Amino acid sequence: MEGELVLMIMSGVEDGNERHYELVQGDGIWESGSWILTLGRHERNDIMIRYDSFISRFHGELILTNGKWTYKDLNSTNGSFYEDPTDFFNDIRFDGSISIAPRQLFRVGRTWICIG
Amino acid sequence: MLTNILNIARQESAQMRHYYIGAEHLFIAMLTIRGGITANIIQDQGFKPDYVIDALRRKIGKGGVQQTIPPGLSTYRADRILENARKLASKSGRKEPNERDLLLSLLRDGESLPIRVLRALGLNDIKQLIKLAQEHHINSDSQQPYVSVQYGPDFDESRPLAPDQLIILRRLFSGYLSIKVERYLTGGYSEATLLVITPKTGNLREDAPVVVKIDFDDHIQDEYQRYESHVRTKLPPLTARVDGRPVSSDMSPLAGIKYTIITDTDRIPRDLRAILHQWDGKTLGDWLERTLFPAFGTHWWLQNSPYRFQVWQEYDWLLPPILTLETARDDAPQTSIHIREPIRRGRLRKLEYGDTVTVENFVVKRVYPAKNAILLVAGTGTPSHNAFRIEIRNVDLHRNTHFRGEIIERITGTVFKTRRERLEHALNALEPYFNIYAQTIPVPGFSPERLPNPILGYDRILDDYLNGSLATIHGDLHPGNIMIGPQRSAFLIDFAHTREGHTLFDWANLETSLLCDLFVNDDTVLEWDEIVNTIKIIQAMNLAVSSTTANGASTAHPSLQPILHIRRIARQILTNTNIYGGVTNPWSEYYIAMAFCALRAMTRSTLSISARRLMMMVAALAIHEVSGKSLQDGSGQTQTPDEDPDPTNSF
Repeated sequence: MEGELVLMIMSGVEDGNERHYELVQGDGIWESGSWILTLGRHERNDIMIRYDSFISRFHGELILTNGKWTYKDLNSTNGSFYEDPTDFFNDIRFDGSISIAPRQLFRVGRTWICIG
Repeated sequence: MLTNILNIARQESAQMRHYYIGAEHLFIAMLTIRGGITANIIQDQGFKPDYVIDALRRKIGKGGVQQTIPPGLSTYRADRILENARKLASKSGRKEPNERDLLLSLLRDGESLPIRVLRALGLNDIKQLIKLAQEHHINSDSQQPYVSVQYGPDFDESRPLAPDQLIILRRLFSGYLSIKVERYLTGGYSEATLLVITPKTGNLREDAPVVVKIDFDDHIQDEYQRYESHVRTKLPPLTARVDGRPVSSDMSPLAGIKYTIITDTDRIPRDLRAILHQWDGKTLGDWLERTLFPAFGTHWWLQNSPYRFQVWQEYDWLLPPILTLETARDDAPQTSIHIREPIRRGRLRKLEYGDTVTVENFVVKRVYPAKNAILLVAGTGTPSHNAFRIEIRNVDLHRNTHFRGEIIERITGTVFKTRRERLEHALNALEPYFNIYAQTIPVPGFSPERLPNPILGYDRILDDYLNGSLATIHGDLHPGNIMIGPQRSAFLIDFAHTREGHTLFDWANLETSLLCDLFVNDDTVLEWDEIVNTIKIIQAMNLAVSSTTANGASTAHPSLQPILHIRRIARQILTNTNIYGGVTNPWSEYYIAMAFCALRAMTRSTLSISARRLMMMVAALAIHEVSGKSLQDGSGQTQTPDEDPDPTNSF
């Protein structure tokens, strides 16, 4: 039961910030073999992103299972996106979960983020 | 200098409703400094700074209407960049960072949005950019390179090159001693200029001729991006290839792109339109079917995959804008009509001059700074190719920033022109002998005696589903873009519209423009009875083509020989299972494409009245061929004109 996360904010007002989360510090919860961190605009989230009005109050979850990260969209209003590999300007909205590799960018609301 | 950049960055941020200063705003601010290091370096890589600015804006998007961020914030990254720029300045003994310090520090700060956009535009080598920024001397590169320009004997001296076209040419051939402008290629319907040019090196040796295209900067940049993503890896070995990056200039709104022609000799290529009347119809048709089609077909048209679509998704864009609006003043009456996806065309039909409408979630397709206008397309809902274009006039582009790719959440305006009015206007200009408001038009001496009025008849088809096919298509296939090289090899140029789309579009488009080239002579006006004679022979060919088996020989009037070969190509692409109007009718997929291509040609003011008359009748016949069939079945979704179908036309 260990978990450390470096979350890099890649756009918006917090662009360039690195945030650190640790399970032992009480970030997120441990549930059936996974470390789960919630993400959204509301203060109760583990990962709170305040200044993007396109992010829902409870937007999504980052989940670490067996050393692999997934991100799950929680039916957010404005959606979660990944980059279209063939068209940089056309981001693809997804429902449900995608697996994410370190440094692979994805977008919640208008904010691009990645794990470090 | 720094204060200046920060001020422009703040303005940019406010106009984009971001309300913070980030690396993207700093970069945009630096790009706007004319003659500055950033603008010059980008320019030297072939990009107009404005193009890069719009790409950044498109990627980031505008912020929400409500300001949720406290004023005066800057991002961690922007702070870091400014801090590093200050360090660079003090190392050189300067009190304040200059543009170079800021640019260097920005380029070195990881995967920022500006860096990611530069990479997406093909500027992958950030290290090289850093090197250029370190070494760049202002004003050293914005001078015109000296290249002497000569003209070959075939150059049309009645159309001299404009000064800004010469600027682009000199930049494109920088490093050569001189260039010889051989001649114009006939080109298409756009304002682009196509030239054949032979460059000469220092020892006066002539290099192989190349084709140069000069057009507005954003068209050229788009063409380059499309070439990179759709074309480069799919070309036959002997063909035209884009050579290097596009070239632009801060002294001109234009940009240029070079196509080298990979052939085994140095002979100067010709475009198909130039030799159209030198070849007989059989030779031309054979060449299209046996040389051009296989050369590109393997990677393009024959990579057919099943594609079920509603006709409007692929063909609405060929029609005039659904509306032209003038932006409403603030005291405009409350609007009751909202245009948003899914579009209900029934509602649009009722709109009239002066009605107030609100358009929601449309995408900016083009910005016309000189006209204070923007063009919107639908595109946030069902995938489509530029469907439901709406033109907005009287836009205050100084107060409101608009950029290509921007999603406009809401814009209100009053109706200035409808699509119906534009089509009626285009039809009226043809001096019709019939009532342009009637559902059908009488065609004396034709069987059937009445054909659907194309400016009304198209509307029912738009919502129908087709089981067609999808492939990479050229997107603007006409005789001006098809080149004939040595040993009659075939190649294509002008990939500005290349995309994944309805496979048959290219061939229907080529057929309509070939019909104009073959039957219309600009010196004499074709009278309506001559037009009817022409569509009679087209109708006979339609019948012959549809009634023969896949490989059987079809016959056609001698002047239609090249068209017959296009139909044979179309047959290879056609989906055999297409159910249209309840009847299995594979050719309806082709006639629908024909109808919209011909309708577009009818509205083109650059075509002669004869050509537009012909296109109008071709559209009428095509719509008849589509809709006539479903009558017999009785179950078709399409209501048909009030004549009996000609039984000889059935499949």
